[in-house]
Amino acid sequence: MAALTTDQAAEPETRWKIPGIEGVWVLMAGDMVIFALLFGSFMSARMKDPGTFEVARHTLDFDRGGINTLLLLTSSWCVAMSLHAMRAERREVAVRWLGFGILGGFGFAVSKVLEYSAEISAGHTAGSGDFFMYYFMMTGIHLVHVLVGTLVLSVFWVRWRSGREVRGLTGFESAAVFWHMVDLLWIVLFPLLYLVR
Amino acid sequence: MGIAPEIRTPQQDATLDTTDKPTRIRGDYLTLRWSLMGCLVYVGFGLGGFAGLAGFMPPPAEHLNAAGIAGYFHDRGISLSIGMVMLAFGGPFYYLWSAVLSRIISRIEGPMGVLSTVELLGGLLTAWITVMSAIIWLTASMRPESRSPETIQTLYDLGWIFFDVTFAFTSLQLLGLGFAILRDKRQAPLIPHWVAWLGFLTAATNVALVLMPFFETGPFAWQGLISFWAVFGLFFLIIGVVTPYAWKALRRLEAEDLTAAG
Amino acid sequence: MSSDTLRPTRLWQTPTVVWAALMAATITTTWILSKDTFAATVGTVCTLALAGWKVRLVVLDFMELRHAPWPLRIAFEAWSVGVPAMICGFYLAPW
Repeated sequence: MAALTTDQAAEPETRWKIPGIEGVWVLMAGDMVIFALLFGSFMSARMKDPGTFEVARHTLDFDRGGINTLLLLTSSWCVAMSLHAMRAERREVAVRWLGFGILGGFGFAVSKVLEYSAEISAGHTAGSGDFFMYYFMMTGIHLVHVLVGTLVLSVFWVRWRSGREVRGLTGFESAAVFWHMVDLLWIVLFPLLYLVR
Repeated sequence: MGIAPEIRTPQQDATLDTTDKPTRIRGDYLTLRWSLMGCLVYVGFGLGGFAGLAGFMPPPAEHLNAAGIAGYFHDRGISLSIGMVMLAFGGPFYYLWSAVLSRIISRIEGPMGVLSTVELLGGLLTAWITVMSAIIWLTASMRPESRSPETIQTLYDLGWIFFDVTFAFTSLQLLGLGFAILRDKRQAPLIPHWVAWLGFLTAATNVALVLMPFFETGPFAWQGLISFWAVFGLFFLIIGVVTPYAWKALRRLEAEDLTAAG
Repeated sequence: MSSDTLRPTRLWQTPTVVWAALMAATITTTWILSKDTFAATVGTVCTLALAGWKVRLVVLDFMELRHAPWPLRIAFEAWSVGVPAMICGFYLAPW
């Protein structure tokens, strides 16, 4: 990372910039590597017992999973639009886009909780074998990321609505980038659990 | 600055603060640098004992039954015991390292700052945890002829619970360090801000250890990809990253202090 | 505002167009490729490839790494290719 900032200092003419707070990219890179390890671990376990995993997979609600994906994608879009609006200094528009983005996050969380209840009522818990262990743990850790992201975005939403002067967008850029990471993780996690057959 | 006692007059003692200040400053920073290198003893004895001699890399699995883990202890024999003695010896050197970071943090925050204390206590308790687990595993390895497999398993489990479920000590240390680093508003911070975020990543990954008691197989068991490899990989990474920056920070601070002392 | 607004952006890199593409890809993988008209292997590999492409879009145009220093961009694009490839690797390997 130190090398990147030296590059930028040496070539101020390039328009290239690292969005947001530099260090947050370190956090995200590490987070994505850990999820990659989990994805690999899941696939390794799956290939040792594909039959059982297939049976378990079929108990999942694919439609709900797909709709959750569409919801999270839309939420990410809203946050991206919000950032663009803020850059164009259209604050009220930005606040509205951000509000919808946050609603998307909440909606995803609620949907996830309902999905968990359905699975548990059907008798599947994290202890019901390897597939469900991975299902609950991976989507659970992802859900924690969704909640953290939603919380951070909400802080910005409250701040922007309060009418106080907004000095610099670096913090929000990082929040947005984190949110897009949450989205991107689900883009892989959803087919991995629900669609790989 | 010799060791041979110089005969000082009371008048000379009275001027100790002003005349000998650069000497004292240099002495302080020399001590700080040596303490920082305590991490080498921690890592050296720690890994040498835990991974090398005891063979805990990866450790015997959580799903082993009593006979299984007793078998491991019997097979490993005296190497395991020696390894655990090494781990117990090396543990406290972690707090030497943490004490140095604490002093650096205190140069960032004001007189009422608490982060230096939080970081120091986190370091001390992490060192303590290392020692606790080592002596529990050492106990399990002694008197193999009269320890039942169930006793060995119970002690082995206890050691891991001490090692893993107490992660919050380390996480709080890293949060204290991280927040202090981010508060540093120098043009070139004493420690780069991205290091704070690496610490936050490490602290957050530790939280996965809450799952350890509940899964005997898979990535979250104490031998698993996340609970063992990711968690401890990041732990040693943060030590490796912070130490060189802390060393440089000490050089800068020493130069500042010597300049100020005139 | 602090951020640079003068980056040249093509139409297909704007958030809305990217979003539309992502939605279309999701509908394809969830409700078309998953059907039995496609063989399991074909459906799965195409789904994973599409997932990788979607991740790349998010990385480049939502996270705006298209205009970031290339080491950062390469690292994240590598993830978008490498992770689906790893999953396919496990899936296709003869066990």
